[in-house]
Amino acid sequence: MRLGVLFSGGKDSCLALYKAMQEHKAVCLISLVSENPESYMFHTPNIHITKLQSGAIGIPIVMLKTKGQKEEELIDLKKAIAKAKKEYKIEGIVSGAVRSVYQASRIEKICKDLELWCFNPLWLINQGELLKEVLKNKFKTIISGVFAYPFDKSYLGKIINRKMVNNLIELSEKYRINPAGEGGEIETTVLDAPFFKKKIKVTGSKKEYKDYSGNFIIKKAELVKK
Amino acid sequence: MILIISTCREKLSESEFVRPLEELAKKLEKEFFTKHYTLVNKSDLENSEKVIISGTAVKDFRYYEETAELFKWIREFKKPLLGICAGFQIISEVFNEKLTENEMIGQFDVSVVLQNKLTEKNEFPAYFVCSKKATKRNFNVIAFSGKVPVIIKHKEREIYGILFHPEVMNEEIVINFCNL
Repeated sequence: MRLGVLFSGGKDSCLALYKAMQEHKAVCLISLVSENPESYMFHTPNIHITKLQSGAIGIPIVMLKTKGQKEEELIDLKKAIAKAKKEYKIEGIVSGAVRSVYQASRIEKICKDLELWCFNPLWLINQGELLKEVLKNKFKTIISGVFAYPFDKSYLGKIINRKMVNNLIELSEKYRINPAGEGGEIETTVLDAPFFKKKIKVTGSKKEYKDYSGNFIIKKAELVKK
Repeated sequence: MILIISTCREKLSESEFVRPLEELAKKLEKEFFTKHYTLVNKSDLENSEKVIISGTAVKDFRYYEETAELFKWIREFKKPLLGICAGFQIISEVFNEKLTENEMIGQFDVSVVLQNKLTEKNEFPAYFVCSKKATKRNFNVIAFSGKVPVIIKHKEREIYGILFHPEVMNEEIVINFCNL
């Protein structure tokens, strides 16, 4: 089946893409660039890197801007998916939805309307297991945003390695947060994975942080040989 | 031993509709095995104490085309059986209930109208991803969402159909079934 993958550039959409690639042909990525940092549906920090990731993976990307207002962004998402269906003849959509009923049901409805299959391969996956799977598959993932106590500035830009996974799991037990950030506690950006033909090298970045909320903004990055 | 039956045409759908059921069974420390509906044989059914039939993608109807042939064993099945979403449709079809179009995608409120062994609350929200509903000639209705029967039970046997996905927001229903 020819599939389009809803792609934010974070670990969840990359893992969903990786799983979809084992069974089907991922023919395009789909990204909505939200102008609203509090977007209900779409991951925002470093969304501009998705274009570079598309080049690194070797799969084209359909990008559409959205103002990111609650229901309006769903209309924009439907437009982007319809565009992917027309241009890349996709038969289905893959999302990295893990537990958000809001997110999953809206994607399901759009797929139903556009007569597309809908796949959510990470649905209800245990958050700790998700992080372990990211490690097992050798994704190079950085924390590109923190949005909850107790995350301080030092987490921004850090690589998610075994030590970090253990730390996130410990924090989740102590502070009752989701270790993989499903509740929006952290956002991530994937710089390399087994299906990347080239990897991303960050050459310029900036940290913005205040009161347990901040972003690691990639200002300059390039594709390099693996 | 619990038999979990996958109704998914696509393997990629199994991580969404079957894996969560397997993880629940593991969490409960119940012994289980999983089989695709096309591979279930007589000894699988004899060796299991109860059976759960999974849901599948909204666009997937292959199981439905094959229900008459591959799920006819349900007619004579006397052990506890739980059909989720696609499983609900399969059970309804096997017992000659009429299925009609009924799209329900998202969160809807459920009201329990009949005392039963699966639910713990009288009113609760549930997650639906379904496109059909069924009549209820051979079944008692345990719960409705609006006017739509969403939990049904066979009048004589422990055969349940649930139109929503209890594994998403109502795990206790699956747990209570596993503990029957």
